[in-house]
Amino acid sequence: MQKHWALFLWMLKLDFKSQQTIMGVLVFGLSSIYAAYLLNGEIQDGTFLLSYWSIAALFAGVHSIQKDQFNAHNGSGSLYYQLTSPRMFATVKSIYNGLFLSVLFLFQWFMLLFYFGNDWTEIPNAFTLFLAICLIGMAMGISLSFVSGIAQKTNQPGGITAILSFAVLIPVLYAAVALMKKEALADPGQQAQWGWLLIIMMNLLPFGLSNLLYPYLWRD
Amino acid sequence: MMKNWWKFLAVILLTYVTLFSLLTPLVPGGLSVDINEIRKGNNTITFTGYNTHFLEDQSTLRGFISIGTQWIEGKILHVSDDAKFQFEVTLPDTLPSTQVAFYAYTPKDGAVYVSSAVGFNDIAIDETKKLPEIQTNIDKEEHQHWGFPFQPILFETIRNLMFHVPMWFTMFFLMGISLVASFKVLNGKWDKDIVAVASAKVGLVFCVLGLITGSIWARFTWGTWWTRDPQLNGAMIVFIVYAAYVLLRNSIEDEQKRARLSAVFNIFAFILMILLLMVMPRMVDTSLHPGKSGNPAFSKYDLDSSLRTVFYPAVVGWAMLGYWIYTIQKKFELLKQDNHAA
Amino acid sequence: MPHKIICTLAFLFTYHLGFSQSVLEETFFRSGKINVVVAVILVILVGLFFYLFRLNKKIDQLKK
Repeated sequence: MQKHWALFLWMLKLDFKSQQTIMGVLVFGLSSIYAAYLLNGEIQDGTFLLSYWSIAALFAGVHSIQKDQFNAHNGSGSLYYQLTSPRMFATVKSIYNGLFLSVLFLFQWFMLLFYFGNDWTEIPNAFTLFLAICLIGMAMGISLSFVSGIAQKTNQPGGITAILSFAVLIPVLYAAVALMKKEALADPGQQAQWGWLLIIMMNLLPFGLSNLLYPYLWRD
Repeated sequence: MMKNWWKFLAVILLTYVTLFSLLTPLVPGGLSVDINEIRKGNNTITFTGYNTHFLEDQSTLRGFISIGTQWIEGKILHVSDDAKFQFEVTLPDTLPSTQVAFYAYTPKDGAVYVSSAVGFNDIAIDETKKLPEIQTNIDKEEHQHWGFPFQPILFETIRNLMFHVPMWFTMFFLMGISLVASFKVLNGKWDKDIVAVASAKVGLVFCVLGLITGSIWARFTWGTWWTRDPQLNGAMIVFIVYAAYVLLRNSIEDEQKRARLSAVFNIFAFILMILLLMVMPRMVDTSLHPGKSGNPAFSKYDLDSSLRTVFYPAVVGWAMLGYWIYTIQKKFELLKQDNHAA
Repeated sequence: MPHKIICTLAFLFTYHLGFSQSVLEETFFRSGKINVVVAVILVILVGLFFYLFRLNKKIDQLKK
């Protein structure tokens, strides 16, 4: 457990050391929301804003995974692959990415409120909204780690990341919009039980499978 | 010859299914009435039936209006043919309910009805109102015909049950084969990778066929090619995920690595498929699909089991055909592998 | 030549859209919507035959 924590901190340090990557992602998150404001001004349509938020989140997520692949390429991580077990690396990497994206999505959510005000929202329960955003971030981070783990071993990592991440992220987005409609707009026509189920499964499934997969991947 | 007995069985089953699903008639039903407003006094109604025998049973034909749970009998004016007749109903100024249905009854066809929303002109609603009791004996659904159930909106397209639905069963069956093979691959049996990819590819073909046929069926019953139905979106996501599986395989050269990576992704895809197509649509109450979200399944209408006697063989027959195509696809994958190695 | 074909196709397509709704409904709602069943069966047959012919061709190529 202690080793896990040390690895987690090391990842955090690595990201903060290379400031351009983390700043890049933050600026990306900010400007993606600001772009919508700049182009269209004071939109008050909740459904549109939520869709926009989820698409911006998708782009930020994919962008941050590309940052990951950069680091892997630089070779700064290869030492750690040897020091720790691949399974442990997979676990910590997934959780780290998940938490990173959760924070990023919360940041984007507050940016959305900052630019567009909060007249269009109707939040029945702030805690479940917070939980939903975090779960969406976790699901996206974990599934993207799973996908990039697979894609790095193929001939064209970039192309395969794009194809696989769409396959994996569409269910996440599908659940995300349903959850956010329920939690941020209090849309009475929206049912959310299946959304919770799907988002939790999209956390557990890639997490378990990447644990299964990584020992094979780092065998060579 | 004996080795391929199941292929003959598949051909026989599918021949039976195609013939019977097209030749079995629909039982009689009510198609439409030409009235959208009822008023106090005399109302003349033209009733159009489907597969009915109004002219043949002219002497025993009776026409009714049901209001809530009570009945008013009309006077038959004119029977123009087997599918159309006119009757006249005299209505009082007060009725007990707004739920109106038009019935035609002959001993041979049983009761056929049209329930359409009608407006009220000059008629008050009083729920305590008692209409004069009449002897209808038409609450029985009995008729002397054997055939597929008649459903409003669906009409003849109920036959698609034997073609559209087995596509999905076959896909599940083939993806199941693929899943088992993937587990074997992860246990170290590399050669099973061929099985996994061949069955997934054929399963994908059946998925596409299911999507297209479903879309056509939806257009002429629900009114659009595509709706926000959880079952439809789930099927589309499953298609994307499995297409990604096939694309992923094409981009890895090393055989063992390809087998392992795609096996893990295949497990992911299968669990997602179960979740999206089996679990989720049952949790949502906005699905239009029969049997989902509280909609009656087809078995509800299938009183004389006419659908079942064709549907079960259809599922088995299509699954066997899918397996057959899978064996051909497997041959192709083996050949491709040998060519690659040589 | 390709331009002409594309223009014709585009014209036909847009022209078709204008009244396609009514034509479609007239064709498919006739006689108890039986044509929907015909369309579905045709789609399955054409789809499977197309797939199998393509597979057969590919197998033949590999065998050579």
